Amino acid sequence: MIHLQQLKKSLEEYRVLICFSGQFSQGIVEQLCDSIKGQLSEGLGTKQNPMRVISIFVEQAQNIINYNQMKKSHKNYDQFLESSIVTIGKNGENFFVTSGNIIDNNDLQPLLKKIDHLNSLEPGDLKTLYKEVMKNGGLEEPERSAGLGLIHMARKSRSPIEYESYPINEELSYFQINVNG
Amino acid sequence: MERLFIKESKSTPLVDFDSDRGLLVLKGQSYPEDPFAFFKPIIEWVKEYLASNPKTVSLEFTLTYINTSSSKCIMMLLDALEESFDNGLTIDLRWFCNEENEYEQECAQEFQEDYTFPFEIVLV
Repeated sequence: MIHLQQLKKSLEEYRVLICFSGQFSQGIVEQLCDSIKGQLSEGLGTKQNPMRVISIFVEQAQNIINYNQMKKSHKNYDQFLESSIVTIGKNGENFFVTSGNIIDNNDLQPLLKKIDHLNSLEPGDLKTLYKEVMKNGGLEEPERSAGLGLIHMARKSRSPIEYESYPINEELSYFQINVNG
Repeated sequence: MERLFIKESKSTPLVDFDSDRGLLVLKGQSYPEDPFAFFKPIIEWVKEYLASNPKTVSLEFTLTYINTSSSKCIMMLLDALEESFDNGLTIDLRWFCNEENEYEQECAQEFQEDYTFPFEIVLV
């Protein structure tokens, strides 16, 4: 049988407060938002605005949902769906949101490049870029808001966005992103 | 024009656009899975309304949380209003924010910067 206490201990060692592993849906995102808001506003020893953490959580979770949606016709689609995990934790006074999912190796380098680029920008430049991307494209565009979520996270993060990727095979990797709220 | 009323849900705001009173109200949070699908009929309604040459339009927004793609939709809605304002329509927008919530205020301020019509941030 699975040793849940051990699993819970590992989560605690990483200071994870909330964790969801498995197939995401909008309904789950909404439930978790309510739960985070409740927990954060009940004062977990911080003066931080829960909306900041929630906004980072929503962008990460919806990025994964949207990415998986794009992989609908991929032969490993089920694997993509099941690979998602989102955690919200607290490190001292500050919160972090870390999520992971399977990514197609063809998409990995462009994504890492995008994050490196965002990390290199000053707050003023990030704001300009955010407004530029907002103005691009209309309601009918296929990649209507691609990248806005990442720029938002870069703007709200207290430190550069962190990421890691682990190769699974020639086609797939596991990707994880961490934002300190 | 027929009044546009959409009930609030967990991830979409209350929409109450009343053409008779010239009052457009948005209230709640917005982070649906597909904001474009949610906002498309709303933006279309506004464009049709503006094309009917209303005398004055008042807007009251209370948006406690908007995700990035919803922000884009709200920008498109405000762009349509800005265009009518440039063509002589009288518009005023009051954006209500919680006085203790900086996050909400920052969000409203970023919109305020981009428009020239009367746009007031009201702290409550």
